[in-house]
Amino acid sequence: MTNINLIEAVRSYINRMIEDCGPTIKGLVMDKETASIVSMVYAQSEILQKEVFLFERIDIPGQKSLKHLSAICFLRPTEENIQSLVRELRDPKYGNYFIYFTNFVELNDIKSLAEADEFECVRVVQEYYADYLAINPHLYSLNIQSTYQHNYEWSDNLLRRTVQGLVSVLLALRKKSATIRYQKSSNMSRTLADKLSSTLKRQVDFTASNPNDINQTIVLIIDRREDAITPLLNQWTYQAMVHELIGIKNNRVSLSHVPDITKELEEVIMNAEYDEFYANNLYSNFGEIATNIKVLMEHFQEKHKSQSKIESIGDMKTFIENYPQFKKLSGTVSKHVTIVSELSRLVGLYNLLEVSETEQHLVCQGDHNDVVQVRLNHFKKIYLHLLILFLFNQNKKQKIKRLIKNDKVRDLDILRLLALYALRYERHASNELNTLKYEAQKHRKLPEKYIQFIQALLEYGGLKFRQADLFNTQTPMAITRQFIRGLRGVDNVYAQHVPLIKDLIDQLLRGKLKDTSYPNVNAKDQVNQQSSSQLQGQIIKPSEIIVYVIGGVTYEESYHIQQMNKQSARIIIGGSYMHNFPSFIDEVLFAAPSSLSAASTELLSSKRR
Amino acid sequence: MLQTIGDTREGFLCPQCHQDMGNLEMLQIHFQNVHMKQSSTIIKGLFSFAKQKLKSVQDNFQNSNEPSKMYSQYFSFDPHDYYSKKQYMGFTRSHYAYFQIVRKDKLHEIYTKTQQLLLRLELLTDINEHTPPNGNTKERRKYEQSIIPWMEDSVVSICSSCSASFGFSRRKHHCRLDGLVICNQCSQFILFSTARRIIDSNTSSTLTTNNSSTIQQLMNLKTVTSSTIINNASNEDHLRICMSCARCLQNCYRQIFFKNIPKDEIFHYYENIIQARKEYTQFQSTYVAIIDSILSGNTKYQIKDAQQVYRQLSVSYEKIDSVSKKFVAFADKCPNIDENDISSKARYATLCRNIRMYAIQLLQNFSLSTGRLPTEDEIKQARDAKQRSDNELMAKVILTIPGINCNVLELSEELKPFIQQYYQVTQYMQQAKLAGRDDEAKFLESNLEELAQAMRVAHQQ
Repeated sequence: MTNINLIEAVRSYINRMIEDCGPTIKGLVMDKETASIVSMVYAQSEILQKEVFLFERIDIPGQKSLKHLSAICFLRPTEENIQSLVRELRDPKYGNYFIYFTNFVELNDIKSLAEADEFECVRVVQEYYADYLAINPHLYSLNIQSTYQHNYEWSDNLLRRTVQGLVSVLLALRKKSATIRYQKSSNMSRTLADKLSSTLKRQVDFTASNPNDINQTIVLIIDRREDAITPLLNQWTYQAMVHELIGIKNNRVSLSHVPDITKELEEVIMNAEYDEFYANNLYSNFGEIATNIKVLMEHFQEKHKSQSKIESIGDMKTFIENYPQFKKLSGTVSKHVTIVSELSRLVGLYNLLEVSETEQHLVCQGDHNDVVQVRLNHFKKIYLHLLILFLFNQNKKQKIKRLIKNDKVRDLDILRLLALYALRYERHASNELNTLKYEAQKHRKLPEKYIQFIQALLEYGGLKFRQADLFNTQTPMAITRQFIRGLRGVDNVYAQHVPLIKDLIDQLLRGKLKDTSYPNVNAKDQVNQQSSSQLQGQIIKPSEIIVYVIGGVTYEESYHIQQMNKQSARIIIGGSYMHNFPSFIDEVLFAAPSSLSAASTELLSSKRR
Repeated sequence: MLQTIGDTREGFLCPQCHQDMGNLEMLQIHFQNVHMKQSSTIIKGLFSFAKQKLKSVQDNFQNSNEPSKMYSQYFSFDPHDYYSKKQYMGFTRSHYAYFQIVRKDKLHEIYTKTQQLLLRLELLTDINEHTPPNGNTKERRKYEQSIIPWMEDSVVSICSSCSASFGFSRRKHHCRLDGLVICNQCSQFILFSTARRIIDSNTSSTLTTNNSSTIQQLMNLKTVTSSTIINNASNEDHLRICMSCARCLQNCYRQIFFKNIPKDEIFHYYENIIQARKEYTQFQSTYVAIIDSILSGNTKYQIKDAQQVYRQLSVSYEKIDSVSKKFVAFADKCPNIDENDISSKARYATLCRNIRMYAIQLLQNFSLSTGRLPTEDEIKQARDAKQRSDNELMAKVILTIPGINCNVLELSEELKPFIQQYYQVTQYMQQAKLAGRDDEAKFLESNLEELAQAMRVAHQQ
């Protein structure tokens, strides 16, 4: 099977740009977004080896012309960029221009560029569809921090940007068309699906393929509001944990707040493409990383020891031969040791193990290990289970109360628990959210923003909006499944939660995803074809699935998709943003209906500025 | 070739020597007896290779505890893509064809307009006995109007450039290049000398020495026209023209300017680096070949050869290093850039530093990929090892030569080349046999016999 690799797709575009420009001194001209797109997949030292010596921003004007330089302009086709480019061509700084747009360009814009090119400097005008941030081979983001406008609707700008992003993912992976399925309960996902479908159809150049092709790509559009739980949870796999506790932005991690940090480690780059240890441990859990880092350190020390005793010329020679690898290794070691020790410091400092355990219990029912000993017949089991559920509800409340009183626990983590509790027992008879809130206010001064968040979250992803059963409490079937899972025992108490998206994809693959909840955008056109294939009882096998989550995706979801891909699934996931809990709080508050609280948005907008 | 293809044979042919064996049994026996011995080593190699492959596949299965292809049943595969693991570059679309069409039209438009203006300009600034001298004389005006008719004063009430209405304080003037009526504020003035320079450098595309000085003078100008005549202290001849003609001439000037921007010296130095890089990679492959040969004990190359190439390598290496060091100096000095132009200087400096960085990385890679010269000891060891293996081989060969029975050590020096020759011929013969060239094999066989004969004679002596 061919690999589908988002990073490789962007890299091959960039490689081609550089090759086509020829072996001269080159400058790469980018805008703010394309600069991030390039930096996600290419290290500067590597791009330097291809004789690209200047990196410039199109929006910074006016410099002396260096006529014998060639410019590779890699730009998004925005109005501002076209204008900047027109200005640039009227007064060229470079001798040759190789222009690549990341998406469809209007012919009008091409015309204004052509008319501006009085010096005949332009050599190439192409569309290269690298219009997304490639984070991992199966993970992309469009880096839109706040998708939802007030009342949970699109703004024209963001809708356009999102459609462009999805189109570019498809075209970069050489997919001309797709079956688009969307979450029906979300207006935004329907609008996006319609717009995407019409955009794909309009581009005649690319839709020549046979619509009856069985090798269909399925695009699945989901609204984050359907699963507001996943972004609330603490994480325990390496990449997810770093993002949750420290924060990853465009593969950069800022460690400046870490006590006693050395200057060169204040900001580190975490790119799996260039860091073998990181690549191997992206999805390892915290325990495994600790072991692996120990191995890495021992390996390093062994090398270090052998390096340090240079007695003969032979030693010298081996030292020099190993030096770059040695240097690279030492960089990697110090980086990861710093990060891992910082993580474990934070885990201890904030009592995260206990917090996370409580979170997982809240989401995934009680501690089933107690139930395992009881062997009764099937129905009694369920009855007993329900009883225990009730007891555990009380139990959980106690646990949260205890954590509220624990000074080590952060306000932020208390907020996670309160938010989970609020979602979990939203319509429950004995909902004691207010008691808990009161307790929390009594023992610690929670910021106003946090209290508003709980309200905003219920608006954002409460029962009113949701259709899926996030907690597996409603149907006897779901309860039984949950119970059986409990009987088997839990491998890892901190990672019991399985995100909704994985369930949805599983259903989709097995042909069980209901058309009523997740309709096909072209259903009207394909009624005949659909019904006939359904009559024969066969499920159309997709060649791959591309998931887009409106409102952002999390590393936990990425991890689960990666686990599926390891077992020969072909799934790509992405969203408007890579969320961790703090960024999710901001997005939920920003999207909150203005009636909820004017203060919260004010607070946010001041922060935004 | 065609004949051999046409000459297809059927039957129980031996795949090695194409002999027809009649039936399957005979073929099997033939193959086992004749070819298996020859190619046993090859076949063995193949088998062990296959075994290794199988093993690695098994290992893969054993390593993964989970059912590794659980999800594959849910996905379809494009049969075209199935065999290639490589991911192709994504789709692209070019707009260059359309771009070129639009640009061509635009450039053509500009070109015709410019040429027209330049032609008029040439006539107007031409100074000879037939043209009246520049000035406010009747003849001059007549001459100017013969080149481009002036617009009637009476039909114009507003300035064609700023649309202000003419009156007592706003007098009417004529653009000498397109005859439009403009006011004084909208007038631009071009000196005759500047005009001549533009015309000269535009008409001759080839750079003559005379021409290049013209261009040099032109390059020193900021603008070709000025809005007031007072600036021109020298009281030179000049023409009044309108804004749009001035813009057109300014554009033309910029084109000439752009074409003649001198190549910055860093580009020459950079080419030096690239040249040296090319040399280095060339020498390097030779060097590696020599070192390999020496270290495997061959005497084809001497250590001197290696040393010589090594010297050339270090020359190129030094060249890259020294030239790229110049870039550091450039980065500090930023020659040819205005002192106050900080952003341009920063840009230039970054460019130079990055080139130096590139060179350093290049040198690092070179020094890693180039091994050092072997020491005398190592060469000696290699040669001894080679000698030993040669001797062992010879001992084996001797045993196969009919009529000669002796120990390698007792062998006289004159015989050694014979034995080597003998060994080589047996090698050739095997190759010929494998390739099915029977005639050649027979010929070589007779050769061998002659050799053996000769050796026997020499040995007895």
